[in-house]
Amino acid sequence: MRDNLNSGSKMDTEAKTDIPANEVSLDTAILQEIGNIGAGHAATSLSEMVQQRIEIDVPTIRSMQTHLVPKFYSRHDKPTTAICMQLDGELECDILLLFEKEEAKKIASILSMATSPDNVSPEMETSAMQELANIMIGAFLSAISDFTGIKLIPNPPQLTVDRFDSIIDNFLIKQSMSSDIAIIFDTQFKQTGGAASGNLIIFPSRKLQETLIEKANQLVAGGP
Amino acid sequence: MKTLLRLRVSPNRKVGTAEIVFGPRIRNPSSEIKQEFEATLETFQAPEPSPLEEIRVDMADAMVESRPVSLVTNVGSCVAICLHDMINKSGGLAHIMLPAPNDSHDPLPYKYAATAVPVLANSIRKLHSANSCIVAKISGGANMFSNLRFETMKIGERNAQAAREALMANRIRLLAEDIGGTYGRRIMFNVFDGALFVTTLKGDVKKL
Repeated sequence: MRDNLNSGSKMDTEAKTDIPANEVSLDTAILQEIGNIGAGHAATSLSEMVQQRIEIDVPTIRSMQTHLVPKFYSRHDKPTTAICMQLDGELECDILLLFEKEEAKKIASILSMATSPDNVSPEMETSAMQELANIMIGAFLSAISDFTGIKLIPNPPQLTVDRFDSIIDNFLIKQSMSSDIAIIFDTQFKQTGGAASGNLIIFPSRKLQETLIEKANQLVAGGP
Repeated sequence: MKTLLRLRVSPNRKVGTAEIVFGPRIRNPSSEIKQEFEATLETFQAPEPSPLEEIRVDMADAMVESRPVSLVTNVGSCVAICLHDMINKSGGLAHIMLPAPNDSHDPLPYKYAATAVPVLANSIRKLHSANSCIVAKISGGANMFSNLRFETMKIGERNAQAAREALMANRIRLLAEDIGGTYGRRIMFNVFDGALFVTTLKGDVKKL
């Protein structure tokens, strides 16, 4: 199963290299497009909540060896607020919403209508950020569901504040148990004023990728 | 000495989480002794680490040093295995992700507890021709998201257990450990004197 997973990967396995545009395989392009739709919806929902314009990067699909991921992001000691949601069942998937700690505080203060970030209690911040994740990731998933017809229902979100490397290593361990290659789906969004910026990182399981590609191919071919 | 060691807590901060690893075991301590002991614990101050060069160890990687430097890494569910050669004042740190490899031809020995310990110990022994006496300290193995479905694996605990077993199999004595919890740790291992500083984001400092 292990060999199968590795040889089946059509994507670039080198760290620090995004896939060059002319060499993108059709499958990668499809996944990227699906991600683009989802991320667009997620950004719109965030923008509605904070009532400010949110810019979003076109999502990139990166595939690299699991242990190289922390080096790639190079945010080793940065205090990070992470909200994680998981998809259950066969189509397993971990979805991580990452903000720098200070950014998260700012967003929470906007959401809870506090006058300044210092007035937000930790409990308030936690619940505001969990709600934010619910809405953003919900928008992301429902956009994908609408497009592909696959039902994707996440578990409730869980929030943690810790250093970047410590947060991400759980997910990398989980990925490395099934494959040496981590497929990461990464989007950056930022507020036009520069106050709120964060990352949406998705670790899709092999099964979920295959299902998405299959469904999308059916759509392209024009029949169920 | 490029970078100075950044101290995460103010030097006067009291740390009540000190662990006495060695020391006389007090049987049925009288209340006086007990009070005195608790008072000592309360006034215990985190020892100020001397400014040393910091070298970062990446995930599934290891570093061996004979110069007096600090090896630094961040762990969540991963485990940092620190080996210290007490005679030659050198040591190494491995940042492992999983208990054992699926196949024996895995190109990354430092990714797994079972393969990291013998390889790391050998490379420390190779630094000096003289005899060596290697001891170990381990830290990490947290369960960062307690509600999520990582609990089927309990990977943090399994990593820690695998590290203990690997040390035992290689006849290396485990001096101290700081395992578990729901928080990440920043590990700072002084290869010269073998001191291991574990800091959390909240600012707690533990010296092992």
